[in-house]
Amino acid sequence: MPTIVPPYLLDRIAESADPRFPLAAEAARRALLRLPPARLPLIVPDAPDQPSALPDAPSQPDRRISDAEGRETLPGRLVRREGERATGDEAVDDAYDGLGDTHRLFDRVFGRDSIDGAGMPLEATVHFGRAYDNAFWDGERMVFGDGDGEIFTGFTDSLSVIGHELAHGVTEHTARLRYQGQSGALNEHVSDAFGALVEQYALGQDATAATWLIGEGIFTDAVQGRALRSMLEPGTAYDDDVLGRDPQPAHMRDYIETREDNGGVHLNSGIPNRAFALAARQIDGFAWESVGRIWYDTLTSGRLGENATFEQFAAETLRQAELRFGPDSLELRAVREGWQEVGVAVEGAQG
Amino acid sequence: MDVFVSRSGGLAGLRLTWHVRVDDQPDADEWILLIEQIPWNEVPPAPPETDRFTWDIRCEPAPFETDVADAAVAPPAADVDAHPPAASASPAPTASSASPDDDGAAADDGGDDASEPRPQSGAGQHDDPLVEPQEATLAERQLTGPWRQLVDRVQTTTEPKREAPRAPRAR
Ligand SMILES: [Zn+2]
Repeated sequence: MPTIVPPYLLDRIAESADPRFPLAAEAARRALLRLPPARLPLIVPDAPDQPSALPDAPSQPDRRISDAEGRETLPGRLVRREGERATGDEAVDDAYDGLGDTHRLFDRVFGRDSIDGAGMPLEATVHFGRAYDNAFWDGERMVFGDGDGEIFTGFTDSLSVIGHELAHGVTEHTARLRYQGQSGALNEHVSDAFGALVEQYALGQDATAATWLIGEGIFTDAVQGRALRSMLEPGTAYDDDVLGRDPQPAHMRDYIETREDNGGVHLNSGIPNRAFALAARQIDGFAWESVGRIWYDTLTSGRLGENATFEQFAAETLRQAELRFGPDSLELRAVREGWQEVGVAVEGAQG
Repeated sequence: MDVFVSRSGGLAGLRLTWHVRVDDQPDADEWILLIEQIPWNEVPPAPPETDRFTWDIRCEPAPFETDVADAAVAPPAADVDAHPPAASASPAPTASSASPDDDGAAADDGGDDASEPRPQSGAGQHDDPLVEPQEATLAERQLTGPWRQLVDRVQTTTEPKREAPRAPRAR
């Protein structure tokens, strides 16, 4: 599938040396090489429902970063508002930049202005708690701990983590997947998927170049591990003396039944995560333009129940893939094969 | 008495467990006093919050004689299944009322209902004592007061173990 980035813009990115997007230029160069010259004029105009997906296209977020100053009280002290200059506090500025990157993906690629689609402020609190080993979405804001310094560094160190948290807000405003069991694992999966896409979009990475890691860079050097999770190879993100081994299943036969973690929502998300990454890699190109659109369409279709199972979610992704890309498309086939690969039953025939 | 604490969930999905043998502690009396303050029967169901920790706290045997009616409403909805952890060697001394499931099961099927705090029914006055383990599952924001004090005390007394998720389905 051809990229929808107009070639003249690819040219510009390929020639630019913007240090913020070191890989975007490279990705644009590669995308240009892949395009058959004869097809170039055909893909310049964007369809109205497919806004420009240029990685450095600006958007208009309204960010508000607060500092909990080591306490567990929210929201904390407001320290940086939209348009204000960097504070010099790394966590504050990383959160500010990460929210901007996430807003840009949703706005420029999916035409969604902020979490609610209506420009709601993006609020985050950093320095939450003491040595707090977590980040979460509390229904109103994203909250980031500094980590204990032994296993975790600060949770704002990973763009995919910031995107993950903001995506929880998007899910809450769209499909409202209940945070328990399979629907909860889907809620987690959606956050990982868009968290990964935010990072790929900011870096200009295509599906082959992408790491498909969630939370790369939040472990200290003492940990034997690459990241919190691997979407492509669940169960392989870390294997460490202290931390143990990544427990995520990669296939339905290994689905984990547990009372804890709301029914293993952070574990079983590995199964749909792998289906998503496999489909993206099979299609190749920029994942936000293929599986990203299909998953976003699924999330906003209004057809998912709050208690959706893996099979119901998968069926809706197939439906959306066919609607957007056609019954004979590579996209539809790749999504179907992704689900089949992880043991989630889907209709063999196209609908 | 044994105190078991486990923390699950969180963005990373890592599971930590702590185990303290209260009788071995030099200040065992203070532990007992604290544990007796814990309102085991006053944990309203909490809406799950994305990526927050879930705390599971258990004392066995129970710190005091427990009223049967209280025990029936004590465990939160998702928490009614008995599940002795591998480390637990102490047998629960009684099973006279091992099925306090009705209330929990009723709350479990209506997913949306669980997001609204449910008033706890008042303690009935029964005579049959119950010394089964006392256990509660708390959302992170419910971990306050004596719950929090107990967890803090456990964490300063012993190092956590990292364990695989409990009870994976047979492959
Ligand atoms: Zn999450």
